Amino acid sequence: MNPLYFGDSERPLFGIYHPPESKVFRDVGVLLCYPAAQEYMSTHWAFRRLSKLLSQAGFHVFRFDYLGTGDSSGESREGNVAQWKADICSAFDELKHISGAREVSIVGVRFGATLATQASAEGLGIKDLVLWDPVIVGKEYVRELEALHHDFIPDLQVNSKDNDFDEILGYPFPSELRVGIEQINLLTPPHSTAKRTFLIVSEEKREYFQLKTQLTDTGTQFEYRLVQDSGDWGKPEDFDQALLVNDILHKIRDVLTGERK
Amino acid sequence: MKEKIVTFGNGSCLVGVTTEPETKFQTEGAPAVLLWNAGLLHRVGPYRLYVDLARKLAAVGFLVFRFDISGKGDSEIRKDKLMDRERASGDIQEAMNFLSANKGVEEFVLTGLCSGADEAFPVAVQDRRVSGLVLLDAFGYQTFGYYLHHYGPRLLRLQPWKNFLKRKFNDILERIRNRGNEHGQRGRTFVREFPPKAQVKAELLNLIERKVNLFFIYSGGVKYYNYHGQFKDMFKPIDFQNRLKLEYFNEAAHTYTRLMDRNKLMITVCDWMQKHFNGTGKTSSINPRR
Repeated sequence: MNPLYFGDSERPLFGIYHPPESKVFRDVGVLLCYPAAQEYMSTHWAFRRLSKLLSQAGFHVFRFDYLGTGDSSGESREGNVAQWKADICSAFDELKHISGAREVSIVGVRFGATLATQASAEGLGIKDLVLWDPVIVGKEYVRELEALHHDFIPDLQVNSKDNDFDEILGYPFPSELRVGIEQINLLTPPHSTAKRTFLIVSEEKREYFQLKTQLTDTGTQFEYRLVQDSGDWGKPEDFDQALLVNDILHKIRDVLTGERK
Repeated sequence: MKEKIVTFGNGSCLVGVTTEPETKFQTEGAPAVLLWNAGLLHRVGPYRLYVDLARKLAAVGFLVFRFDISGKGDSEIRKDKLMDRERASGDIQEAMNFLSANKGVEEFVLTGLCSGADEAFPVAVQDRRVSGLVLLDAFGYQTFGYYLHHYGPRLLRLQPWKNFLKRKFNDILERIRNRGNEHGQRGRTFVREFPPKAQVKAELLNLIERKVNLFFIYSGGVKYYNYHGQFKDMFKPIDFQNRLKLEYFNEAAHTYTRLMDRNKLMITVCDWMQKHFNGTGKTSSINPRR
């Protein structure tokens, strides 16, 4: 495991590279994309375990922090959608550079899956794209966060109209970030150009069926898996607790290795 | 400010990040501040608190080292067979050894939240290099005042009784619903046990005698601490000889969810560090809103 800084030397990003730990040779890298701020804390442990599983399966693995998150440079209020998509592209290139892998797949969870899909739609050449409980409609996601915030921190009101600087569930939420998220809708074109897409979800939702239908209609090579192992993303009191999952991590490994279990 | 990734410890299995002040702001002879995992969260801290705190402390002249205890965050599990508390102590001391060897630091201020506080205290007692402690939601023991603050208002109002009955009813319902469902659990897998109060009292006396500066901060997010004077009441009649600072942020959550609470906390910690360890720079330059 090799932690490192990469990208712009003035504003470096933090990443961790996990080389393959298996005799099975796979000339493929897997980039892990964290969710947005509110769900980042709880996902770190799951991503660490997933990195281990995938490197033991022979993949080069890289997980990283977007600008303004985790150990990367930048203040938390500097995060925005355009920057984070650019960070995914930067991490993608870094993984290819470190590993020499011929192709790179991406596993994204929640808004990380959304950002990866957008990056793919904008031309990033992804082999396999694994979307774990993705955010499909940005506007709905922001409304959900605001509702959770009202319930969890009722004495700190979100001001979505006037304030350029705001806060949702403990994180800065400036208008640029809000607008960027609200503009996203994975049900509208352009769509991902990944060679294969896997939608792995912990519960059945209307928007997942809509995405499933759309990807099928566009002729995308696509698979859907329901794995009831992920806990509940909608409990703010759990945001600062590590997400302990097992089945879904193994399922992600299995779809990437092509093993049917 | 310069940040550097560090792997250290036996077999370089531990991962951390040093945050160093710009040379012109460095305070010669100042202690380094150590921060590590709160519960199962990694070295970044809840809501990135440790990253922000490290950068603010560096801005006022202090070297900060935040790292993951073995088996947590990104650090590997230790190869020796130490138990949890011993493992943490060993890792913290390795962090101090690393800074001594590589940065010439001879004194340390240990900063911990929750389990981090539980781990910091015994290390400070054992290791004379520790000259300061900043402990967030550390041990707590009920006092007469605690029971008065807890039960007094409740006895006289109807709503708390209704809430009590509703909670009990919901607990029963939840248990029935969750029977057999162990999927997707969150990391509430560690239990805090505080040492015997008499032992802690003796250890505090030891630290005072060594002139260790103590800063205990409690939040409104723990059930065992509920009024400003509780700490001093817990440890009557210890004379802390002006070595003790107490703060009770009763509106803050245990992990300082709200930005304003984190900002207040960071300003308080920076001010205390500067007052006791001669840091440079001005804490007032930190924008409390951001």
